Amino acid sequence: MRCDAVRQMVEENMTRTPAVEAHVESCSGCKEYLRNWEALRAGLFALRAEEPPEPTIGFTTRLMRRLESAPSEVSLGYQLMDQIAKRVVYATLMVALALGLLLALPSSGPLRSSGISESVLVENQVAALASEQVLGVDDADAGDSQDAAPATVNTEARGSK
Amino acid sequence: MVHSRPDPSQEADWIRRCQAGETEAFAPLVDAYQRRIFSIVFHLVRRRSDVEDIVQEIFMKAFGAIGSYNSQSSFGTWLNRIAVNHCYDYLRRQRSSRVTYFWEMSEEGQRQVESHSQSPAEGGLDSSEKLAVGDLAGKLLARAPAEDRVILTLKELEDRSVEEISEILGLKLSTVKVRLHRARKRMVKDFEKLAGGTVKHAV
Repeated sequence: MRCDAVRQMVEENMTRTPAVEAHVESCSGCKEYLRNWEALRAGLFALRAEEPPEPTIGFTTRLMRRLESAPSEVSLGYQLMDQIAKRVVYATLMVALALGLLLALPSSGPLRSSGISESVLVENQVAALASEQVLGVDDADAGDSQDAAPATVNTEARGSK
Repeated sequence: MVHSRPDPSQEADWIRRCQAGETEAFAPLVDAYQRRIFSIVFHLVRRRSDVEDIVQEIFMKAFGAIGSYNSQSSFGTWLNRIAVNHCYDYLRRQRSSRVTYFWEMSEEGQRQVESHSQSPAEGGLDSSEKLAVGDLAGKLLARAPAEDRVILTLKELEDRSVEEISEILGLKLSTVKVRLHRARKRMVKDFEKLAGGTVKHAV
C-alpha cells in the first residue's frame, strides 16, 4: 500500500484493515506521521470543546434596527452586484460562442468561398468578352443582350476590386 | 429565542416575506440560526471580541442577498455558505495585512477543556497536556492558509461531514477529501516544526 493512501485512511478514521496495520508497523514514516496526527487531533478536540460566545442580549433587535435603517442600501448593493455579475457572465458566454463558431466553421466551403467564386466568375466573363472584342466577334443577334452585360459586369468587377 | 431549526413551511414563509421586502420577517430567521453562525464564526476566526460584529455583517449580507435564495439547498446551508465565505475573506484580509494573532484560551475555555475528556483522541492526556496541545493546534490553525483553516475547522472543530462541507463550499466530494488530506498533511508538517520533540512526550 502507498503511504499516502494509508495516512488518508487513518485520518478519516476508517477501519484499519490488516494491510493498513501491517504497513503502519513496517513504515517508520507513516508511524511518525500518524503519531503526530493523533497529537494534533487531540489538540483540535480540545479546541472544539470550547463553547462559542453567546449572542449578547438584544442582538436580533440591534441587527433589525441596522437592517431597517439601511435596507435599500444593502439590497441595492447586492442587486447592482448581481446585475454586473450577470452581464459579465452573458458577455463571456457571447465571446465564447463567437469563438466557438469561428473555430467550428470550416475555413473553406460554400459559405466562405461564394464571394471569391463570384468575383472569379466575373473576372472570367470580363476576360472572355475582352478576348471576343479583340478577335472581332460580332454577333448581331446576341448583341442586344450582351451589350448590357459588359457594363454590368464591369461595374461588378470594379466593385469587387 | 428560537434555537432549533424552525418548521420548514414556517421558514419558507419567512423567506418569501423577506424576499417580498418585509424586513421584520427576517428576525425569526436570525433567531433560529444565530447560534449556528456564532459557532462557525468563532471556530473560524477564534477572536471572541470580533465574533458578534462578524455575525451581524453575515446576517446583513444574507438579508441583502435573500432575493437570490432559490431553495436549491436548505436555508441553513445557504447561510453557512455566506458565513464561511465572509470568514474566508476576513481571514485572508487578516493575513494580507500581516496582523498575526495567536489563539488565547479564556479561563472559561480552559475549564471546559478540562471537563471535556470523552473524546477518543484525547485518551492518555492529562488536562495540562490537553491545554498544551489545544493551544498548539490553535496556533497552527492561525498560521494555516485561509483555505486550509476553513476546511479543517469545518471538519475537525465544527464536526461537519464531508457531504456537508462539499455543499457549503460548493465543491465535489472527492475535491473535499483531497483538500482535507492536503490541509492535514501541511498542518502535521507545521506541527512537527513547531512542536519539536515536546509533544511526542506528551502523547
